[in-house]
Amino acid sequence: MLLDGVNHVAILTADSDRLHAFYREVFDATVSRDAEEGEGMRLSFIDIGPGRELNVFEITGNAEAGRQTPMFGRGRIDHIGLQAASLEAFDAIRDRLVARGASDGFVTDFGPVLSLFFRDPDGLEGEVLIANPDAEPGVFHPPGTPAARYASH
Amino acid sequence: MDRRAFLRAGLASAAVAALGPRLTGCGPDLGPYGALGTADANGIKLPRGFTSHVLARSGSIVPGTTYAWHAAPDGGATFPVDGGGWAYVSNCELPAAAGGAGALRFGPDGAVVGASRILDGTTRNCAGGPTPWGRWLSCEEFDGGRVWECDPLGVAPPVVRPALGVFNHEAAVVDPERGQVYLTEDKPDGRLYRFRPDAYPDLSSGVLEVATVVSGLVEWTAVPDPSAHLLPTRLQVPTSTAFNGGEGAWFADGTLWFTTKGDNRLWELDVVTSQLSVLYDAARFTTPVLTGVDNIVQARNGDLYVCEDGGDLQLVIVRPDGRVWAFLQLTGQPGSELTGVAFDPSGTRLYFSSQRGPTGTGSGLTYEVRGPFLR
Repeated sequence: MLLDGVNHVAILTADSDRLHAFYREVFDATVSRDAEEGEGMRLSFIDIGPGRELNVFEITGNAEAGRQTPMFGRGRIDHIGLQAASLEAFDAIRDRLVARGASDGFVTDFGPVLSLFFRDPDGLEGEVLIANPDAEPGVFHPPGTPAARYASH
Repeated sequence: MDRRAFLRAGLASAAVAALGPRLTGCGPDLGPYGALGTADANGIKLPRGFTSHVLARSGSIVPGTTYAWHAAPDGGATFPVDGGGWAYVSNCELPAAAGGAGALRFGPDGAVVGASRILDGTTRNCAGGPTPWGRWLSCEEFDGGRVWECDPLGVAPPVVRPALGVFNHEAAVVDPERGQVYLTEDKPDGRLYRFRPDAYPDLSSGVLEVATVVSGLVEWTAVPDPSAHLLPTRLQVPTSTAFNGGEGAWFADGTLWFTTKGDNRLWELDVVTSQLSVLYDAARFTTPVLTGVDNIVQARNGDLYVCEDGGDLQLVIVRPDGRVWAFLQLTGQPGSELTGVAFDPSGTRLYFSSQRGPTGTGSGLTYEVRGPFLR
């Protein structure tokens, strides 16, 4: 393997400040750079883990962030999957997302991983994942499968 | 004073919960179709002359098509299509971006000729409503929920309509005469909303308003931030009126009907006079026929058919004069709920789903009932 994960994902936003606040308040993420890149373009980096960033572009007159399509109709990149730092972090993120109405709180048991879907303030779909402590080797489940440890929550 | 006038007068006096004497059921009046028979092969009790059959089962290929019917079928509606047939759309209430909607397509003789997914990757699509311009409004039921405008045939791509508000959506119905959309919110302190498009029927922009009931009359106030970025829509207008769990809705001839599950009521709003009244309230009956109120549809003769989520899993007729009768009852599926009630365009076939089926999971069934419906 000559790679070591994803360096960044570039996304478009209608409101950088609003998106920064979302990532800061939900994920304890930090903004490491924020600058005007020429006329009408603002570029900022949201750090989402060691060496991993969201490169956030806000471009005057660009309405892409307002164009909302359901899953699998969004072009070649569909959504972002974020890795939680721990199961405890996953739980904290879940609580924060639900509190602000950004997730339905349902935790999917995909087998090896637990998954939580959310929408950021621009309506961009995202997913938070963590290794499933209850995983059974070789067992996979389809979308909509409730994680037993969260079923009563 | 007739029953409706009595109820309206009571509401106007604000003593809603304490209205009138406690009445007993419907007595010997068995309604327009008579008593329910014994359960048929599908476990459905129907009046004489009516028959049921299963159209689709979650996870199984719909016969004659290549589409595996979705899990957790919820709100539904029918749409005429070119060539004399029609489509029945059905929401999929799965969580975590696994929801959406699917549709059955029927030929002119009512036989299934196709089935497909029309919306994918959305979350907890609960109820919704048909539009006069032939689109299905599919509503997501979670605090970040939005409304998706969908082509019942799945040809045109779905379009999200955030201007209709970000909240725990349930139903959305259109007043075609005034060009407005009414929306219910399924929270114990949910609100009733009205959306006034800037250029009806384009739902991309407009004013979202919330209802405040004053002496039985509804007043509307603009919701400052329909995106609910900092505050839930239901809390943005402090004087607005809470409704206990908004559910299904229907609109016809200047009247909006909607249900609230927390108090088992069916409400009636005259949008011309703004008069709000309670057409049905389970609390007025010692043995109410209808509880667990949910989705609604209106038959051609004006009868409202109300699904039960809970209760005794009946589909119940509420006549606009306030009389109430059970129309059918689903047996052997105690962990399920009735959803998606709709008539075909001729008014002779009724569709509905059992959302969780016999197992009480997301493995539901969608049925057709035929018979001598009053039209």
